[in-house]
Amino acid sequence: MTALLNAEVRKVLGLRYWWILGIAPVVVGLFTGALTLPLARQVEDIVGEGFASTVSAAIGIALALALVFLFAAVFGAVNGGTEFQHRTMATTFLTTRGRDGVVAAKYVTAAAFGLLYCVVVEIAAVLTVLMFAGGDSGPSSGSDFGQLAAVLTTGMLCAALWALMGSGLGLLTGSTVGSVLAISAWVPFGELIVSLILHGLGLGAVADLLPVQLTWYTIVGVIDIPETGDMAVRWPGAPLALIGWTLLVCALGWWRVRSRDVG
Amino acid sequence: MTAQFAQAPDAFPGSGPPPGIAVQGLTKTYRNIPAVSNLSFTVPPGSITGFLGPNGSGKTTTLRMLLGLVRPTAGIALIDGVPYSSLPQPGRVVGAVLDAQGAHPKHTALTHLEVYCTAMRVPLSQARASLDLVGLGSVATRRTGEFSLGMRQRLALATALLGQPRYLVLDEPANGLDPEGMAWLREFLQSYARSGGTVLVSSHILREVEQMADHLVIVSNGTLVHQSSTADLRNAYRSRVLVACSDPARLAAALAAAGITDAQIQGDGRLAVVGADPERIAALAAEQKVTIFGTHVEHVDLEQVFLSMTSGRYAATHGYHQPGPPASGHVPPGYAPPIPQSPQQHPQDRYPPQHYPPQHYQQAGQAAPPYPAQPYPVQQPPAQQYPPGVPAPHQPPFGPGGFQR
Repeated sequence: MTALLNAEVRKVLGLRYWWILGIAPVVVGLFTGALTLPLARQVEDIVGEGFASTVSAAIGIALALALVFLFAAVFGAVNGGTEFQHRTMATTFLTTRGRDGVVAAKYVTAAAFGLLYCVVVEIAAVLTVLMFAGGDSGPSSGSDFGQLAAVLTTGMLCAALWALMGSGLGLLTGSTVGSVLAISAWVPFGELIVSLILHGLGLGAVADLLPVQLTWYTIVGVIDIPETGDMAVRWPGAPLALIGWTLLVCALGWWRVRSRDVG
Repeated sequence: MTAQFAQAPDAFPGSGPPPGIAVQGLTKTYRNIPAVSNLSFTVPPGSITGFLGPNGSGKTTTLRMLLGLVRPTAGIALIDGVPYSSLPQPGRVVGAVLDAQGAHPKHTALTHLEVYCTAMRVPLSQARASLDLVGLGSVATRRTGEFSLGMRQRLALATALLGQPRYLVLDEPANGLDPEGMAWLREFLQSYARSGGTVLVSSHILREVEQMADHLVIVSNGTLVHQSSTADLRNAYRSRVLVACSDPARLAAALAAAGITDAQIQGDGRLAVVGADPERIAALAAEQKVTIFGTHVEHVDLEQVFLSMTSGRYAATHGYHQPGPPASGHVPPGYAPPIPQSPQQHPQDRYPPQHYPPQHYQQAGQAAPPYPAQPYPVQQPPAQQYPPGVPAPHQPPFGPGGFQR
């Protein structure tokens, strides 16, 4: 398994897409704090002291995480589908025993790169928020630090899960382009549209169990704010349901790879 | 730089005498369309076996089933006595060239090979060695997307050789290779087989593999139509001498007495002799005082034998025809004129072929007299048919060569 993992990492590092896909969330992580802080400060006098830094930190990290999830999933889809697109899967299978090891190595690699994206972006986002907010900002108590750490850790979990979902989708469809388009459409607005339709049909409870919403329930659920009591899906249901989605997509991808004829 | 190629691995690690490849009743059906039907054949260890058939005859599907890439509907394929999926280290037992597109276009050749070295737990230095072996050492750091088809074929072969396998399975490896590259491949595979390796190489052109293959497996429409050694196939379709003479029966008896028993009187009265050259026949005829009016040596092209075995899958018209209804009696031909099978057909129409080139006898200047009446009844032709004889196409140049950058 170690050999397969090393081979998968070599495959990824031999191409450019892994770092190209990481650029966008890192850039957003670096600059959202700097952009949102001046705007938030303009209303700080009205809302209260400390509002600007809190909001900018929240928005900055949330935006950065949103992009991390999207690009982690895209990475997974590219990593999963590119072997079928370029017809290298036969070569991969011919040099290894069985297909299970290959699929497992792909999933582990996808999760690892999803985590890597998230860690890098979180570090960039937190550092820039602290830097631009000056001495009066950022977490000031042990509780604040704890919540920030919880958000960042949960973000890493979600990034890994989204990378796995992307990889599973790539293996399931065998199409990089199709998988990337599906993810790029679903994450920003596709799920929102479906959710609205479901709410319109009186199936709002189902809409709450869609993966993007579950992701935010998972992250917001670790923050100690009163409004979380109104959340449709709370901890630990939200992360468990998200893990369920991940398992479903990965299992389908695994099944497809095991059963398909490689032409 | 001209690289030296014809160097196969000297040893096959961990090898005893391998039992070879065995395909037993292999069948693959795609949505009720049979691609391969109950196909069985063996590849003897240490041999080069040509796996021949026209496009769409099921060669690639068979090879992919052998390598565990396609799940058979029925049957089994064994390598060293076990299915491919049960081989503990398949990359070190079987090297396969199935598709020239098997490398990511953005990977360099070296990166591509290093990936699979890692997967097979082979030292990374083997990547460079394999590239040198196939003559791509000078382009190791170029992206594979910039490679020509021939270079990609060589890269695929380099990938197959990474694990120094005992078996090589190659699916139409000559595609994209120029004549020089084909000659190199031929020498390489022969050298590989001499070192103890076993090769199964598919092609839709017999001539590509005829010179190097020890055994031939011929398929058509997914079924086996012939399996033998190349020598046996050649012996079964040996050249024959058609002799127009004054007394064919007497000459046939003389030939038989001399140990040349394969002599048959044809419908046109000529004697068809297999296994003797015209000079020997002339000498025997002179001894028996049989006058020879002319002889013609009829060479058999194995490519035509192959085409006749595998004909008729896809019909096409020859040349361009004006639109309109076909002429009376028009029959769309297939790949090659099929062998007549009707028992009512007169033997003369079957053997020799109808459109055999006009005969030119050796005794120039002498008008060929009408053939004498046949003293013997016309014999039935043997089960194995001579294919329609046509001049052999130009052979590709043969000799060592290499890829030059």
